[in-house]
Amino acid sequence: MSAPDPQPARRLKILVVEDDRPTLLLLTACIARMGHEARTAVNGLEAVKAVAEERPDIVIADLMMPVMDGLEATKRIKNLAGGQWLPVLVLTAKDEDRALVGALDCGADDYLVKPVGFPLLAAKVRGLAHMIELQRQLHDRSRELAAYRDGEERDTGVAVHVMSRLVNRDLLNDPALRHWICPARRFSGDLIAAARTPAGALHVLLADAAGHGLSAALNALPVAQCFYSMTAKGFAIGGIAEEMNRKIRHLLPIERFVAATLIAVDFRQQWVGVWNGGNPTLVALGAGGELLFAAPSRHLPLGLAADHLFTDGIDTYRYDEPCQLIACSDGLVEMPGAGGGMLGPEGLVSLLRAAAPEARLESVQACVRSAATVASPTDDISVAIVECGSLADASRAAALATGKVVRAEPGARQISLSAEELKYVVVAPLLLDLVRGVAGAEHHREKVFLILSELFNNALDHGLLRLDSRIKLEAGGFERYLELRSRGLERLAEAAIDIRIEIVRVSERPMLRIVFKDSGCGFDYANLLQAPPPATAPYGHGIPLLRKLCHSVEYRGSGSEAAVLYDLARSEAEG
Amino acid sequence: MHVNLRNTENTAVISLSGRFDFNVHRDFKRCSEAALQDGAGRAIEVDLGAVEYLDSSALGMLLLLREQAEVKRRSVALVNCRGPVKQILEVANFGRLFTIR
Repeated sequence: MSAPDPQPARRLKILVVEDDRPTLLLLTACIARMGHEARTAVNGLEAVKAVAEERPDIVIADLMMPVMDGLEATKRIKNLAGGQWLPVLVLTAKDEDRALVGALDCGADDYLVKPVGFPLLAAKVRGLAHMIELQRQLHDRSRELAAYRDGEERDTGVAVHVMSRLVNRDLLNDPALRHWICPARRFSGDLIAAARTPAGALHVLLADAAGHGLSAALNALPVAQCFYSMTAKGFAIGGIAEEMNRKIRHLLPIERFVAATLIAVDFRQQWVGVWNGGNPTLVALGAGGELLFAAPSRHLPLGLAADHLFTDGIDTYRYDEPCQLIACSDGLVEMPGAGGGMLGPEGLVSLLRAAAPEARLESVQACVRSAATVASPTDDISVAIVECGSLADASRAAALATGKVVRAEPGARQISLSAEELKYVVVAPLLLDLVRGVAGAEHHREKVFLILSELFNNALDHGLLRLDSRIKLEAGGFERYLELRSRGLERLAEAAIDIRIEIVRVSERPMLRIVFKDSGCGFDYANLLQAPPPATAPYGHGIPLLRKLCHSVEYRGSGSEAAVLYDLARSEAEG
Repeated sequence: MHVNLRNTENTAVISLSGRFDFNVHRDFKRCSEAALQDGAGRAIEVDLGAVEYLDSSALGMLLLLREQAEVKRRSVALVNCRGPVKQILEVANFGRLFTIR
């Protein structure tokens, strides 16, 4: 007799199913000798009941049995076992090949030919025990992983919450901007930000931080903060880019750069400025899809240029007709396009030109979604569309102003802006809407818009906020003026500007009559008209400009009411 | 993606083929370190002729190599750049940081 058998690592419960009593007793003894616990059943039906009551670790079953044979029992036992593996070892007589194949097909894991020798049985049981152990470890690790992932999900949820507060996504409601970001993972390394300068110019930032996911999103944060605070102070985009470059360079490791497109739009002057470092070319498209202007990447992405090597050159463009600026990150351009390969910059422009202006964003989204059915995107995709001087934009902004534009009489339009509205309403599109609403003024749109802007700025800056233009003469004067204006506007309460515009006939000539009334206490207009500031001063050009453009300019009362007449019959040639 | 280093008389050439992305990180680092440890102080060239595509992490790896090389006063050039690789380097204006040919 050999040395006592080594005890197994774990005592298993083994169910033995055998109708022949001596064999059953022998098997039970073998199992006990192996150090495991034996349970018994004399046919398949009993076996299935036993498994249902108390799940064993292994089942050893004879194939040929009355009531229910091993084959049927194996099937049912495997069914009961469900997701977790319950090994079944079948015992077969020498010439039962067909039955054996059947059992193996039903899920039996191994077999032994009777008469069963102890060494072989023990070896097979050891093998099965080992596999059971491996399976158990795998199951535990799965559970650990699931728990870890749940923890991660919770932490990520918190991070998303914090990020959205910091990046201030509510500021992206500017009527002139439409945008879309499609992150490759939960966090986007792409960021779009928009804000207005105190003067009402629109700044838009589209940034693509290297990499993607949470770490890339974190890299984009200092860029966003810088953008918002400097825009609020009225800095130009070249200066903002320079500061962002410095910040990234000093804050992050070299490989964490940020490709960025900065856009400035002055709706009043109909002027666009672009700084593009590392992003695909920005394009300006007309209503019919004409390519009006392109601003390719001329600079290193943010964070790479040493301070003295930083380049701040801006590409500029003046637009005469409504157009759209479209900027995007490389994720869009590198997306798979029709017919293999990438969409590419030309592919993107074709796609945009083929769509009507109001449907361009949807067209891009549809393209991205259909590409995603083929292969999931590997890079964040972001796109921003800025409306310059479009009528669609004007009506959206008018809606923002709570629809207070009133038709006083046929041909007359009136609007009253309260202090609250003056703070939040974006004025340029509103004025455009006013002009549009007056039939007969179509050909004079630009000039009338200019007149309205001048009158508005005078009413607000001087009438209500009492700002002194001479501040602009001092060093740093413009910045200070803008700052004062911003603060004054913030503090404004109990104030209003009323605007009325209508067509009248003066000596048989059709004229546009525009009246601005502000609730301030007026100014010494008589003095200003008598002794205007020198032509070289950086201020005071408003009233002379008005006088040049208008048939007449009149101030009434204390100066808080201005009325101008614009000659609609004058030809374009008169300038 | 294969990365290997070979030395000629004057240059240490790191050549890559296939997709140059984050998966290449370890191999690229290994070759970069070997090239930088070169006692003879050879100029370093990164041969991108067989590279189909590079992403921002590849650009990051090149920037790191450049930074480390600068410390040892070694030059880094990107050679055999064509097609999509050339375009990506152009959009990123990397010509201002590397000699590209």
